[in-house]
Amino acid sequence: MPGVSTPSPSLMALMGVYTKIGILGFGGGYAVLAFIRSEVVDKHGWQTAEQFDHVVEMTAFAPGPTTSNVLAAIAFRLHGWKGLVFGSIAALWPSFVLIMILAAVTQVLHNPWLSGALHGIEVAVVGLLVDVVWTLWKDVPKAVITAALAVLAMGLTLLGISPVITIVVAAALGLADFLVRRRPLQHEPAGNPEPPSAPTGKQ
Amino acid sequence: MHFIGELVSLLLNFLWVGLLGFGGGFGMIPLMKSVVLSHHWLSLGTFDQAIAMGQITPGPVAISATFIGERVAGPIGALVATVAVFAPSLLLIVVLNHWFARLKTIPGAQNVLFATLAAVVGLIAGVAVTLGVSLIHAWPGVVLAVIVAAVALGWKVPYWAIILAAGTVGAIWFRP
Repeated sequence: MPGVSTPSPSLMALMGVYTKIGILGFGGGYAVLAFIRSEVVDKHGWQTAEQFDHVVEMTAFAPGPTTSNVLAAIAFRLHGWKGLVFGSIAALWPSFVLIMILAAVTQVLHNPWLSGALHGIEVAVVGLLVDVVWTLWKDVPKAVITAALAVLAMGLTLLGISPVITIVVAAALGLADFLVRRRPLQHEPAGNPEPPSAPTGKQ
Repeated sequence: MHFIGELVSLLLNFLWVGLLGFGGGFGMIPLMKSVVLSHHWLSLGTFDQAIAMGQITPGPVAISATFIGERVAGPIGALVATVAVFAPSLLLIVVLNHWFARLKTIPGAQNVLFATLAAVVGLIAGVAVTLGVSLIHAWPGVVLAVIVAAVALGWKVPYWAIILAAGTVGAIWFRP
């Protein structure tokens, strides 16, 4: 029943559902989040819709893949540390096994068809990263500082500066931005290009 | 002894990647690239393939770490890299689960998060340019990359389907 949280599942039941998500969870990101939601909220009622949205919002503040973070957070809420560890293992082992097979096959097999296919795949990743950049940029509030940071980070990458340095500097500049402007960086409401709650002042 | 050294190196480096990889799984790609190339673990082309392998399997992008670990130190290397890349975010999830309500009330937390995300977007753009310049040498490659970007941006075709299609095209078009 959607919207109503039913009693906690057993650890085995949780691992069963997580393994199913781990096997069928192709596509990453929002596609898999919708799949997780349908299993955990709609089908089994282990979390209410509000709890699920809260978990997704929370994971934005953590590093790492959103999907594995959401699964881990829900497992932790249901079964503590044991749930976190075994839930994550249950969700990840199918991809782990598949990757090991792919790594072995691409290592051992040497024929022109496979080399051609691998080169096609390499080229495709470049094209996909363009989509990744665009998709992630849509989630960033548009402001001078965010645009400048994106351009700066790209430039530093091309100069060969370590991304660790870039990330730390960006976080520090985000803090400096708050200390100077005293206003949160946030998404502007749709259809209103003016900064929210800006004082009108004297006309 | 060399083997143990490689395992320790995988562990420490992928813990860093896991700790700083903000912006979802793709945020880890620039960090992984930097780690992999600075240790001469993989060529740029093989690193790119590792990313692709992470896309055609179910599960998150970070699973590319498994492929990298396997190439560096076999199955044990794969296990070490995988545990290391996921451990920091799982620990932080537990911390956030306790403190998120309070974190949200800290002024400036949003600014730091969004500034970091903006930088991650730029980092990934930089990686895309680097990979493109190094791996695409001829017009057929340029055409394929542009078609892939257009299909992904315009029609939201899942990445795994695009990669499998590009692999098929490559087997025919790029066969040496």
